[in-house]
Amino acid sequence: MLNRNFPNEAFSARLDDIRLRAFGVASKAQDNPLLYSRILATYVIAYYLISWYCQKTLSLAVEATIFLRDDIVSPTNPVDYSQHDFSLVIGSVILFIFLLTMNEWWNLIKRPREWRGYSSSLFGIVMFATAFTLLPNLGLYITQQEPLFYFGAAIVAPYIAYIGGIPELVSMPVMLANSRENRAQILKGLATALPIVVYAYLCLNLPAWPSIIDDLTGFLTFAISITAILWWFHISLENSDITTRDRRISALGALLAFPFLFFVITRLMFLYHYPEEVLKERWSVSLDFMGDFNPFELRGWPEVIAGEDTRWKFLRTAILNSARATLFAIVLCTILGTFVGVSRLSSNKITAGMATAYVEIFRNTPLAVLLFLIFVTGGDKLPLFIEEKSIRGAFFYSNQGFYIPAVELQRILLAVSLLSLVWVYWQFKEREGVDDSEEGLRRKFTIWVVAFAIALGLVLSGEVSLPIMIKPNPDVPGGWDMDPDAGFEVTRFFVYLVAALTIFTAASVAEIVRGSIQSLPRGQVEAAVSLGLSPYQRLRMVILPQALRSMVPLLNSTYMNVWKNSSLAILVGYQELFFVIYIYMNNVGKLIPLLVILLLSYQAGSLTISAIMNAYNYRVTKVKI
Amino acid sequence: MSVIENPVEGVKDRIDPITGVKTGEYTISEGVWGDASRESRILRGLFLSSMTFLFFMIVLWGALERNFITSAWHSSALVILLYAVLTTKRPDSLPTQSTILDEISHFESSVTGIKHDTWFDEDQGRKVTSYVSAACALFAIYSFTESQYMAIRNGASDSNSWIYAAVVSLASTLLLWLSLIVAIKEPKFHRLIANPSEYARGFESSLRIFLIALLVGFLLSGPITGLGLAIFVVALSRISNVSLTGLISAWLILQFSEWLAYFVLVEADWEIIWSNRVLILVGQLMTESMTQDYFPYQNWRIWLLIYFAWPIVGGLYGTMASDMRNFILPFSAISFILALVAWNPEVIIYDSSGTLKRLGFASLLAIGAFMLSNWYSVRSGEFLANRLRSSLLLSVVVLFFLTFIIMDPPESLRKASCKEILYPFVSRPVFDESGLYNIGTLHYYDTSGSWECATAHFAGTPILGDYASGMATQGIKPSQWGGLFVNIILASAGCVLGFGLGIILAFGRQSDLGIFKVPSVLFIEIFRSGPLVCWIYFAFFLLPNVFNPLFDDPDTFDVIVRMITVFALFGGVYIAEIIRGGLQAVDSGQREAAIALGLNPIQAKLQVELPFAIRTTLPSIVNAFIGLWKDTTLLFILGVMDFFFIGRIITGSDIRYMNDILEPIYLSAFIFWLGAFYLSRISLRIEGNLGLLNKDGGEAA
Repeated sequence: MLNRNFPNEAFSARLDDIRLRAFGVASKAQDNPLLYSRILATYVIAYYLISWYCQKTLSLAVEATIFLRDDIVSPTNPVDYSQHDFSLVIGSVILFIFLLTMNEWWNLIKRPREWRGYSSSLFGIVMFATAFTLLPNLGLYITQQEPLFYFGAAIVAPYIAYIGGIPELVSMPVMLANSRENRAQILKGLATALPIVVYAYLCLNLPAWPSIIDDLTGFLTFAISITAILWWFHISLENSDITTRDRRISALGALLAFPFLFFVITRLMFLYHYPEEVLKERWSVSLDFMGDFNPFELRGWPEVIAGEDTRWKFLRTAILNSARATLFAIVLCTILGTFVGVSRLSSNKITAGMATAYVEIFRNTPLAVLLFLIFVTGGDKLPLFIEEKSIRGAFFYSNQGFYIPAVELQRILLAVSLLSLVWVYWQFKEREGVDDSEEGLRRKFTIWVVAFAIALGLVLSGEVSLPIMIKPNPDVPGGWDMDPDAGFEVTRFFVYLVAALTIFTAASVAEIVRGSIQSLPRGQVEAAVSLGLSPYQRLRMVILPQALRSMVPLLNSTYMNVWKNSSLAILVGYQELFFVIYIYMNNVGKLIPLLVILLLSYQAGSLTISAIMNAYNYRVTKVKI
Repeated sequence: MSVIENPVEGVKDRIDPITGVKTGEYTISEGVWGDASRESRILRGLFLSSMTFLFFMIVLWGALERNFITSAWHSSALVILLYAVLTTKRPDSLPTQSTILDEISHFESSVTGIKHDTWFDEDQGRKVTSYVSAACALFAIYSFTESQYMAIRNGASDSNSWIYAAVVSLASTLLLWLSLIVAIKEPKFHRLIANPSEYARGFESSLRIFLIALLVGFLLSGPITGLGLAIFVVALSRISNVSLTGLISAWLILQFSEWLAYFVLVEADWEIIWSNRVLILVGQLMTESMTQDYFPYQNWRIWLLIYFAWPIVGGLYGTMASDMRNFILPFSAISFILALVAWNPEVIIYDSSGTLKRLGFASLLAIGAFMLSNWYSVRSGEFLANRLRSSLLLSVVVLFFLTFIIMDPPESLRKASCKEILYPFVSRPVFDESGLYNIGTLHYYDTSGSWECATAHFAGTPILGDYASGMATQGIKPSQWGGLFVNIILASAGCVLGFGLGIILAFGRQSDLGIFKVPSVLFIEIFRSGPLVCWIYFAFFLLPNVFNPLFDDPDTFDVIVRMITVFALFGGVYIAEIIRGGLQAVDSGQREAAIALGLNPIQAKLQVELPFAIRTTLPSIVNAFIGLWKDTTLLFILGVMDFFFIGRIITGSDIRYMNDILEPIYLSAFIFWLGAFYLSRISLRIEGNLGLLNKDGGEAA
């Protein structure tokens, strides 16, 4: 809390204390010169570093400000911003940083009656509004006055935050009446008001200071560096309570952050308006180009046609392509990874060795290299298209792709819904407990087999189109192709991508599974053994359910990695999200909007995976151990 | 006299019939043949005759088909060796008599889950194992000769064919041995003989599996295959799980090793790698500077870096304070391999003697540094050794920054190391005594105060002079770096800079002050939301637009520097998350104790919380380092000439190597794997040192 009732005697005692401390420092320096010279050297080096940093960034920022606020609308300077826009942007940034520094949100929410708790923030907002409205009326005619105005505000705001005397400033008229007791507070209020007054004076009276006009950057650099060093020294004296100390540290941080921030903001504003074609394309933020027709083909579902559908539709297909590959890879890698992870703990030395070798090899190979390797090997080793290799004439495989019989979508949906109905039925029936007897298990097995048979029948009774090879001239192998209306093509790119992702991620999953199983308490496993369970029953009923507790969060991040790693499909040419946006970037050139779309899509996917895994995690960790 | 076998020590006790005292006696192992019961004699006879028959068959075949003498020599040598090995005994000084046979039995029980007593009795079981082993040894010889012949016929060199044949014959012998053991011992013939009806009843449960397999096989390929498949599957299901997994693993090992060995040793032509050794290591420009005359020799820069890096590595190993041989032997082996790689005279394009000398010098430096630090660490306590390790790690960071200065010295440094001392020509007016009259000007050489050409005083001295004059020449810009060097630099940037950035971001995210928390959270969340390829693309196009004015020469912010920025940011973000997890695990008592002691916030964070957090999360951090090392392959998008990219394009560089697409990819996979594997071994070692391994549940499971 603020030290409001500071008695006068203690005030002079405080002065004495400061005097003693200064002499104390001097005398200590005589006793221990090395330490103090080291501290002094630190301050000197820090000063030079800070002034180099400020000089570099502020010179560019000031130049940019002058350029952007030229007020000369000419063909050579179309980057112009009006004073209204510019001051709005810069002012709101300064205000935001000031509010962050004061950190008075909690005070506003929890104790709204204590106005002193958030008076600084209110003051800041009021000052911003005043300055914003007054600025056009000030009549600043020298070019350097505006930069000084903005950057000076960026120095004064941390000053106000540092001194933290807004309540005193505001209640000064009341205090002046009882001047004796409140001397310290009056001084504090005055100290808060001083930089504001100096700043206003300098801004409005700039012609009287030609040295500042000549070298505005140098003046600002000097101001910032000296202030930063003095504040650092003051904070290191550690004679304040925690809240004050925190606020002072924040003020110092804000002061040092402003030059870089201004450089970046002015640079971005410059790029946003710059007329050069490439830059303008890159930095404009409109998404209109996404409504245009897409010139290149994309293979996927839902079907999109080049030249007719908009880029948004193509993007939707591309995202679904990504999601499909990721889903397949997640399912397969979990199965394979669990298998390998459990094998690694097997008592059979060959199996354990093989699993260890698998994990060690594939965890340490980069995914890009693995993908490329599979791509080249697949093209090499799979049979040629003209060899017409197939399984029973229904499933063709070659190094051009895989062709499977196509069934109707509705039938598949029907079959899937039937199977889910059966699953729901079993969940309902087993809500009291699983029937583990021989007949019970046999009944369950029979019902599942029957359900699968019916589902298969449903699917096969619909329209099943087998892939047909078209050979216009049997003697010339050139024009052979698959009938595009018959059969369903699983592109080789998809298979390569899923295979590489599976093999790569299965190694991580194997490690996770192994770690989780190894962290189980030994007693659980021994109890399972002593109960006479077979190894498979042990795994399924005792070990894996408990290992899931520690596995699920780690699997969460693994699956998110799979989703993000699917962006490597560009190596194999599988047309998914990153590939499509890469082509858009090259064709259209609008990098910022496309980057935002890309980031948002990947973030959405990660959040979906995270949500599902967190729900599952909740289910798995419901039992407290 | 009764002989009681003591199962613990493998020693046969003898009870003295008169005094009844047990006396231990070392019995001479009777080897394979054991005591001559009737069945064993029959089996022995069968075995001997079959061996003789096979021996003659091999010799005959060799005579008819190809090299008679080689195959005869192979077969006879191995038969004699086998006999000697199986009947040998260890010296009497050892308390346990364990022959090769015992070890084979142990291996068998661990691999197939069949104890050797599941045969009629234990002795019989061991004999079966020994006979099968002997037969498989013969098969090994046969398959060795076969594979070697095939390898040579397909174009492998002599030595390669021997290695290939050894690998393939070992793997196939393993599979055959395993299958034979399982086939003979698993069906539990003694139970069949003892109680046939019960044995047949055991097949009932396999009926379901039989029917399903029949159906599947019928669907896939027809009735006969279906029947065959069904019988096979039923046979497999009768085998115990352990044996089944063993069989499948052995089969997988055979397939995989045969395929890999065939590719590496027989099919592949590694000449493409040998002729492009330097290119894939350091990139286009450095290769040109090494081999072409029109380009000044720049490789001394990389050698200077190696002279700094190798001793640091040796010193770090020395602080482990372990036995000297643990480091010197593997290190010498690795240096030897490197020297071989540098020396291999096949399609060499440079003079290898200089390289070998420098490599030897670097290795000597490393070993010397290791010995010094080992002696110091062993002599002083753990605390001082840890301090030495910390300072060595700090010097790694310094070396990282030094790399940029050495490879591309800035203007100021180049001026300081010019070749000759440049004396500026200075004029000063001369006054007479009255101080008014100018009678002329005095010209003299100003030799004081100029820091330029400061190192020129070393000119002409043997080593330092060369380095000084070398520093004066134009360096190599980062965009001209290439090869494995670039991968290492980028991974180091990600690790070193990312570590520092990660600490800052972690503390920022954790602090209560809004001004540090909000930017940190935004930063971390935005950077983690996209894949690395996305950020690489972003850095290539957008970053220069924003940050180019900061550099005096826009070329300084070239591709590699942008990539270093991106890797540092990306690595920093991931490490920040890891360290944040570690910081959350810090005991709040530690924090409070630090405040009570009067440490200011920075001291409390850096000296109390951070060491604990890093100690807890070090394995995850090393994991992040491994991830960064592997992610350096993603630079192919931008056409940066890193190791992987060069590996893909050297195929097209020379018409001789047009078909060798796979070899460079395999090599790059291997090199990346090697780096990551090495880092993971270090991580395991650190984990072990810190006592963080926990393996309770694994053994029982």
